[in-house]
Formats: sequence, structure tokens, C-alpha cells
Amino acid sequence: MTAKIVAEGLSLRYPNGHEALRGVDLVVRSGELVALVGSNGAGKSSLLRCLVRLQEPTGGRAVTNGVDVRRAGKRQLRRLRQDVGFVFQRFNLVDRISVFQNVVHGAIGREGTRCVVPAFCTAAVRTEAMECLDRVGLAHLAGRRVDTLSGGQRQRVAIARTLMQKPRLVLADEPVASLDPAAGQDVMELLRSIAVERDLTVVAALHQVDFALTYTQRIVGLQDGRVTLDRPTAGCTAAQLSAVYGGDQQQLEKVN
Amino acid sequence: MPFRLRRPAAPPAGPPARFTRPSAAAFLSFVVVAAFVVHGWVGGVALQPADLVEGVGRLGEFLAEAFPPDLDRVGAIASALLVTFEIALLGTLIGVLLSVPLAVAAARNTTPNRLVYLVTRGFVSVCRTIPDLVWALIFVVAVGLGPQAGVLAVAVDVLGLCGRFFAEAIEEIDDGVLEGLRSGGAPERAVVAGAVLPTCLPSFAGTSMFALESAVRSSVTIGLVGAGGIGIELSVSMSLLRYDEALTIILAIFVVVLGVERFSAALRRRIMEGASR
Repeated sequence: MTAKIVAEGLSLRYPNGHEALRGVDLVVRSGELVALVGSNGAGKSSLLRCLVRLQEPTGGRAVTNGVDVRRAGKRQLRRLRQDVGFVFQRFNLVDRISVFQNVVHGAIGREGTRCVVPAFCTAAVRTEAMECLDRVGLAHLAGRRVDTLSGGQRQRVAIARTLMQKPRLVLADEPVASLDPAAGQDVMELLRSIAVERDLTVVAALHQVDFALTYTQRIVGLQDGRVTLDRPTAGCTAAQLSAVYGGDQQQLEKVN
Repeated sequence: MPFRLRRPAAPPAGPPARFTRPSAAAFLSFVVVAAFVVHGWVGGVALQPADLVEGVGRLGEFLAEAFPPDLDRVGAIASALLVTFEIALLGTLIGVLLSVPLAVAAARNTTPNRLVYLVTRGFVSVCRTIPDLVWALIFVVAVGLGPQAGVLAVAVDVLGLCGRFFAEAIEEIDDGVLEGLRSGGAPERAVVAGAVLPTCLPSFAGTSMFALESAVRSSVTIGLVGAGGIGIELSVSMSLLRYDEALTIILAIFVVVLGVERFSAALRRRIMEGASR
């Protein structure tokens, strides 16, 4: 199995002196489903964002999908991002346009700027977009404007857009943190089944420990910008998980 | 037991002072403004009651001569007014179209780099701070008398307005929306076309209609300096003391400006409703 992500001593220090990542070492192999857990500000988002340079790392090395992230030129970086799906907490869709158009946007990376407007896309891309929408169960909403959808539906649209990129690796930054529990469960269910059927590697920052335990194979705990826990989900004990949260009692109760 | 007055632990603080000392800067600016007013009054920029009374009388004479409005040249006036309206429309269209790329370069979240940002911001500021009448004078020198100079002056004026407000609208976009496309490997031009334009469209359209309203008014006045349209007609009628004809022109201008304002206000309302759907 090949490594999809290799981080060595990866660090991120903001201009104001705050150290979000302090030398993170992490290897994620192809086909793994990994949960990143940790309290607010532990560095989960920072790590994911650094892996595709949405945030510029300030030290160490990151190799994502075989590309050295910090050395990549403009074009190489775009190709890297095209190959890596990124799912955001706040969906990051364009609100005033249709669901279909948002999904087609996922093809811009490989098909070019003309995919900004679905009318200018090839029939193949249009058909593919409908297939992706169908996969997330929203084909019937293709013509609706995004700002008329619920949070859960919007995250599904965002996942459909990610699928249009034909990624091998998906990074999900708190994909269910803005959703109610039921919608959150649906989205996690969807992410896992898609990952299995398309043989995707997924790294998801998760706030809910129970989701991490249910849907992933490996749990990586971050604390204060460092990896303090890294083991198979099956072997994770409640005490280890609560230690990641600094022994936070509420999180411990959730685990039990 | 004798009655004893108990002293409070600390006397209550008195009310705040009746007058507070103004800061040195506030005092200085007051003095400067007052100096300008006094200097202007003494130096001739004043309203003299005697002149005002006389002026009201002359205004009466003007109105008496102006009524009834002379409709003899109404055809020529209408066609000059049409030119004025078309100057405004064409100038606004050009100004708005140029404003979009300029605003993308002049918005902090979409500009390619800091130098481009500063240069475009500066250019937009220059367009905005020089008054339309001055632009008209400059373009009359450059391309000669006529509507062409008017269209250019309006376009530059609109550029100053729209360039600034478009850029501000772009800066208000949530970063996440742009990141959604960037994270999928989209080049910057696709981010602009796919995320920035659709998100800002209601705001751009509203600002553009506002620019058209102001352009119609300014294309009347820039006609006075020879930049085409109705302005020169009005100027000639006034200097030939043909007040009845002048009144026709003024009324015609009033109708057109009001019509454009009403139309634009209605359109803006519809756009805003669509935006918040």
C-alpha cells in the first residue's frame, strides 16, 4: 500500500506568533479512513489545510498524493488540489446558483474554466454531474438554488462537487459540525460508503468522538499542535481518547 | 439612646462636570472652519439680504417670461435630450463593464498582488475624485466637442463610482466561497467567473442602476461645456433670453431624469428581493 499523505515535522506558525502545528508526523496509507480528533484549536483544521496549502506551512515537509506540497509551483499545486477532494464545515458552495452548476464546478480543475457555466460543458461532464448528484441522493434538486436547501442537503451537494473531481483522497474538515445529529449521521454514512465503493482514502477532522469510533479505522489525536494519539479505532480506549481532550469530562461521557 | 447621624463610608461622587474641555484638535478644527466662514463672508462669498430680495423679484420676471413654455422647437429639444440620455446609457455601460475587471484587481481577496491592488485602487480614486464636469472639459480638448467627449466623461465618472463599490462588494464575500473553488484546483479566472460574479451580481446590478441615475443628471450638465446633448441647448436659450424655450427644456429634463430614477428604483427593488429569496 502506498502512502497518500506523509507529513514530517510539519509546523504552522501564524504571524501573530500562535503555533497551530508543532512538528506533526503522520503517514496515511492508501485506502485508510482516518479520524482526526482533538479539542478546538488543537490543529485539526490547520493540518488538513496545510496538506493542500490552503494554509502555507511554515516548517517541515508534507507530501500529499506524491506531491511535495511546499515545493509545488502554481500549476502543480492546482493539479494536486484537483486530485484531492476537500469537504468544508460550512460547505463553501456558491449560494445564488443552482445545485447542478455547483456540482459542475468540481470539473473545472480537469476540464478548464468553461465548466464555470454548465451550458458550455461537454455532454459527458453534464451527465457525470447528474450521476454524482444521484449518488448523494439529490438528483431531484438539480435545478434548485443552493440557498433554498437545508444544511444536510448542502453538505451532500458539496460532496457531489468533490466527487466531480474524481479524487483519490478526500480531506474533510469537520464535515458534520454544522449539522444536526441525524443529518450528520447521514453525511458520515454517505462519506464512508462512497469511500468504500471508490476505494478512497479519507481523513476527516471530527468533533464527535462517537462518529470517529463508528465510521473510521484509525484515530489520530491532536493536542496543542502535536500528535498525541495514533492507533486503530478498534484498540482505542475511552481513557486514551479523553486524554486527547485533556481529560474533558463531557467528552469522556460521550465515549462511554 | 441619642440619635446619631451615621456618616457614609465614602461621599457619593458628584455629577459630572457641566462642561468638559474640548480637545486641542477639536478646538483647532473649530477655529479653522470658523476662519473660512468669516474670510468667505468678508471676501464676497456672502448672502446679502438686499440682493436676495432683488433676486426674488428677478426670478418672478424669469417665470413670467417663461410661461407659457415655447413648444416651437420641441422636436429639436427631444432629439437633443435623446442624445443626452444615450450618452448616459452608453457611458454607464462602458463604465460598468470596465469596472468589473478593475474591481477584481482592486479587491483585497481577489487581487493578483499588492502592487496591482495599489495601482488599481489609486486609478479608481482619481476617476472618482475629479468631478465629471472637469473630465468633460478634458475630453472635449482630447476628442473635440460632441457626444463622444460626453460618453468618455460619463464612463470615467461611472468607473470611479462602480470601481469602488464593486471592489467593496467583492471584499464582503465569505472567503470560504472562494476557497470552495480554489480547493478543487480552479484557476483564479474560474474563481472570479464561478464564485465572485454570481455572488456579487445583485450588488453590482444595484450599484449600476444607481450609477445610471447619476449619469443621466451629469450628462445634462456636461452638455453645458460642449460634451453633447441637451446642455448646450439650455445654455443657448438662456443666453438668448429665450426663457420660454428654456422652461420647455428644463421640464423635459425633469421628466426624463424622473423617469430614469423611477425605473431604476423599481429595478433595484426587484433585484434586492431576488437576492434575498
